[in-house]
Amino acid sequence: MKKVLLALALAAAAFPAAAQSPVITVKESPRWGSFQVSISPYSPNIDSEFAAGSLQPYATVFGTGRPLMVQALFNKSLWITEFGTLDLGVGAGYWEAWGQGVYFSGTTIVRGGTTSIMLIPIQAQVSYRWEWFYERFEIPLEPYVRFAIVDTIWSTSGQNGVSSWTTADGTIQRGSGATFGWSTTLGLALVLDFFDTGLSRQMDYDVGINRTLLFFDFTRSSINDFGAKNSWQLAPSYWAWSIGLQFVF
Amino acid sequence: MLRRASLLLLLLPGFALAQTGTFGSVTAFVTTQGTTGQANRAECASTTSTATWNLTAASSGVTLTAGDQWRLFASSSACTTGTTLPSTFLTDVLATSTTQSVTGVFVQQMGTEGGATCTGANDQTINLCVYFKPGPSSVLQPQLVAQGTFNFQTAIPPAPNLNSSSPGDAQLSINVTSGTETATERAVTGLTFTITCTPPAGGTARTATGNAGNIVCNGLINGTAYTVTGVARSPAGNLGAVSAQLGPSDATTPLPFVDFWTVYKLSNGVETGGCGTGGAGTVAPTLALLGLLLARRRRS
Repeated sequence: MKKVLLALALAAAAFPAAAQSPVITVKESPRWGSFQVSISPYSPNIDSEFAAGSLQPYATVFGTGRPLMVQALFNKSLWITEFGTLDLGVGAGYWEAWGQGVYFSGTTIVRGGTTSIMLIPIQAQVSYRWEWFYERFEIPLEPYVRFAIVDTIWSTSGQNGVSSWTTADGTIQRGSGATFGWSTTLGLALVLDFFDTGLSRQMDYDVGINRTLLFFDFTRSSINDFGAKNSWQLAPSYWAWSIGLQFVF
Repeated sequence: MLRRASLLLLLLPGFALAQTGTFGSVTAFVTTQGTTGQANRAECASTTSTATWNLTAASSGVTLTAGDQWRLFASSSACTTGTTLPSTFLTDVLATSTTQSVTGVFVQQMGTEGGATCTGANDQTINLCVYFKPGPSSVLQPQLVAQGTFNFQTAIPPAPNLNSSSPGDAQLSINVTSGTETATERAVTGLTFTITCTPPAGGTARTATGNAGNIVCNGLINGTAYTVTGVARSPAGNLGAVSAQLGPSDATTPLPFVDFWTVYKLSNGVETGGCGTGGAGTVAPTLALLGLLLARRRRS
């Protein structure tokens, strides 16, 4: 009887301590998917359809700068193995460039007023991340590839709101629409958990984030309605780099 | 006996009011201006400008009887309490309700009684006091029933800075900031600016009003070089000096600028706007269908 009472007293004494300082299990929580945010300097290659030496509309109005695009992707893990993870997901971004309107005075160009172009790329993507190096050798690097189908919603505006253009036959072409395309990405992620495994486990225990990755990648894309003859090119002419954070949960 | 008790009951709230300092509120606004709580330099000096006082006497304490009055008083110091009414005052009005508007109070008199000068470079706040002046049939004592403040905004704003002009299609966007304060000018909070865009002789000037930042003059004639000036106005309505003029120059000449979409179309760009066509029209729905099938298969 005394032993039972002692055991109960010890259990009662231990319970508040356990509540204040949770025991973090070594085993990580089950994975479901991931969420990531990134930034990327971006400049659509709209001028690609115009011959060199002729007026380049985009460069004339917006210059050669590359405003930042912000993007967020959400993935569901479909296949998790000891080698890596196959994800399927969706994402969206936002980008806008501002410039000055143009007045053609003979051969000179006078600038004034404001005009802008806004892009909202929405994409469905499939990606594969090799986790083998980290899982097997504890090398905190995870290369990945991603392929996406993109639908970029775009809008241009001037002094009086969304732009419009009236053709010779009276048809009004509004300066807004959506253009489809594709993109492929090659990247490398640095596993931040490697640098503080205790904090990593704490995050998993507290909010269910299994892994945090700092990534850097290059994306090649083409957004011109898959080559349709009446579509412009909204993708950059180069491999666009981006940097961001990915949270695996 | 009953009457004495009633009198005592009537007296009690008034006594409590005077003792505890629980007073009602009073606000005033210049009748022609319609904003609450302040008068400008011209209204301060005018012998004809009047104000309306809106008073709300303390909810407990005053039971009005025939012949009771409100005594309106302005003071440079806090309203005095007690049962002695101020001997100099603005006006006495018949008290008809504990929530009452009194019109026709001369602004100049308010300033004089409250110790405000009409040429000061800084705001001058006076105290508004409303006293209960009992009529012949009242059993209450004279007492302070409402108090508030009123501002004489006599400061003149400095001439604004017109920093830049950006021409647009039939418009000019002028960047305006408040001018530098001087000994006699104050850039008080809430200044508004009026921009005047004047064409060469014979044309119609256009004005636009706004806060500091970009103010746009609309309805201008393209190709005309405008002269732009600005003036600041304080919340109470004091107008400052006219700014240095901007233009006439290229920067103040509106032109039919075209936006990016128009430049693109003028260059014979192929994009026609609207949703994507061609291959995309079939690829996207196919992908969506595949996704749905995959999800359904996994569920089963």
